[in-house]
Amino acid sequence: MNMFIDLTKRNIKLYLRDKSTVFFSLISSLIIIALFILFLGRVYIENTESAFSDFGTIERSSIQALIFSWILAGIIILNSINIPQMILSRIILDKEAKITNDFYVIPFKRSILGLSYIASSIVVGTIITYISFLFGEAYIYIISGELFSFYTHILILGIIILCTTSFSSLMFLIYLFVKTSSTIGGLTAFTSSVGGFLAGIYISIGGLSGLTKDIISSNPLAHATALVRGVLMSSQIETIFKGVPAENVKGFSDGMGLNLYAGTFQFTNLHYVIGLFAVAVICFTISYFKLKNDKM
Amino acid sequence: MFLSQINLDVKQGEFLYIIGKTGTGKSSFMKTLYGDLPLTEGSGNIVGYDLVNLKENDIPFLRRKIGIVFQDNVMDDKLSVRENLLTRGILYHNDRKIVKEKVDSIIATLKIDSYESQYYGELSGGQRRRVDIARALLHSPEILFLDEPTTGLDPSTRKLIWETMDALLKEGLTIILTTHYMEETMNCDKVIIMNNGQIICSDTPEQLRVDYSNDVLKVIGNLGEIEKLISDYQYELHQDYLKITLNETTDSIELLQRIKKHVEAFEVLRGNMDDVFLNLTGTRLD
Repeated sequence: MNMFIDLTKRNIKLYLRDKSTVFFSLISSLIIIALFILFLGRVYIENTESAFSDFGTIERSSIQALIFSWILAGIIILNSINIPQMILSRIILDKEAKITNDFYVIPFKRSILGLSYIASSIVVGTIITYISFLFGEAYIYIISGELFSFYTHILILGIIILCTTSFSSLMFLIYLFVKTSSTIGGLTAFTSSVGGFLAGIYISIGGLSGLTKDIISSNPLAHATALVRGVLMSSQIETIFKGVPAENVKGFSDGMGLNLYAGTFQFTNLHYVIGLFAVAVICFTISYFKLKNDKM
Repeated sequence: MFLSQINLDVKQGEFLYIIGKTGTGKSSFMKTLYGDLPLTEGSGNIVGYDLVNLKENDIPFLRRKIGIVFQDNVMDDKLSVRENLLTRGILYHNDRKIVKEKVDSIIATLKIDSYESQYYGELSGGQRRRVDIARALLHSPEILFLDEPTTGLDPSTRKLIWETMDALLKEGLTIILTTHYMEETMNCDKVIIMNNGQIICSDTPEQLRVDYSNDVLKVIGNLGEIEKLISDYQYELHQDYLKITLNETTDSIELLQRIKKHVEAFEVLRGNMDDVFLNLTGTRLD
């Protein structure tokens, strides 16, 4: 157990002491915040105000908080992908620096080394993502005076742990096939950009149509985002749109990607959770069999 | 590089050098000795393990008896010296108290306490090398392998590394290292010369020198006249001097008597490991 703990601590220290790596882990989130401030937020806020203008006055600050919660969910999911991705790049960096050669001549179980990489990814990913959620909540409090309930915090923390575990397993598997650190940069750019679209962060999935919408609605990233959005926004929607016809509220939820569909089939929170859990199980299983015969 | 016909017997407390050009199998040989590569021909026995019939399950036990210092620096740049040693130490001992005691002891022994809190990446080449040696000693091995430990270091730092080795030898550690610095081999117990994946020769440096090299008498003076008097010797004529190959060092006495009238200056050059390597392999080491 000491070996596992110390190797995990080692990986965490190396990540936190590399300021550029930490910065690039968070850059996608910073870009989203910038987009929100510059124009994205204004567009969604004005559209929402206009859509519900027939149903009485809704406080602008409440809509701002609601839309920012929508954005915040995206930030949480992006962080739960990008931070594990950056911290797990340690696998490649260790190989390139031949540090893995040093570990290999020490007689201890290789599985402890692999598990330590994953554990450090889950621990750091969870902590930093949760901290980013707290910063987001602070902003919502500033603009609306509202805080999330303790129960919401527990749910969000649970979802963050599930997401970082799931995406850590995915990135761990991917990195087992990566040979050089030059690939890491490209991979990061790819996951940040493509991941953002797949998760419905840059463009709402509800705004898409046809097969594209069905396919994107079926991927784990979209499910993770919908899960977080549901937790953050449900009680806000209930409060803000009190007295608004249910079909209008559903239209808003569908349009903002809180409800996901594949054709006429609607996914539920249980599907989201099982899907993310399945990603973790499948990726860890494949990784296990790959490592059984190969070195890391 | 495939190894073939490796036959080697290493005794406790011996200090061995492995010499060979880059690509001749020195690193592969080292890997065979710590069980990373199989030995398919010849024989090899190290710390009681038969390298030809080495089982997968035996490798961890073999490696507990061996300390390895790689040619590359393989510790974490952003961890301090102490952090690096503690992280590696726990992988051997799995007991924090034992590891701390071990690390404290090794830091004191190798005199690296003045920079134990510095990041490994901030150390000089020589300091890093000493820390690498400290790391290899964490589990009190019986044998220490070093792969080109002084390559890339300046002469004063190399001297420091040698002083460290001397101290370890005095404690009874068996040391095997690879090098391409010939001048470093004169103080060891045995030199192993490798070429094309094979051990060409293995003996004490003095015996190798006697068997495979010749002393040379270098003379400056009236070279034309001297040449007339040394027809029974092999020699090389250079622009300003003659190099006369001696069968025995004492031949120089009789030879100098013969040619003294025409000699302005002379020097007896002892046969060295460069000559040994050249005569055995047909090529120079560098």
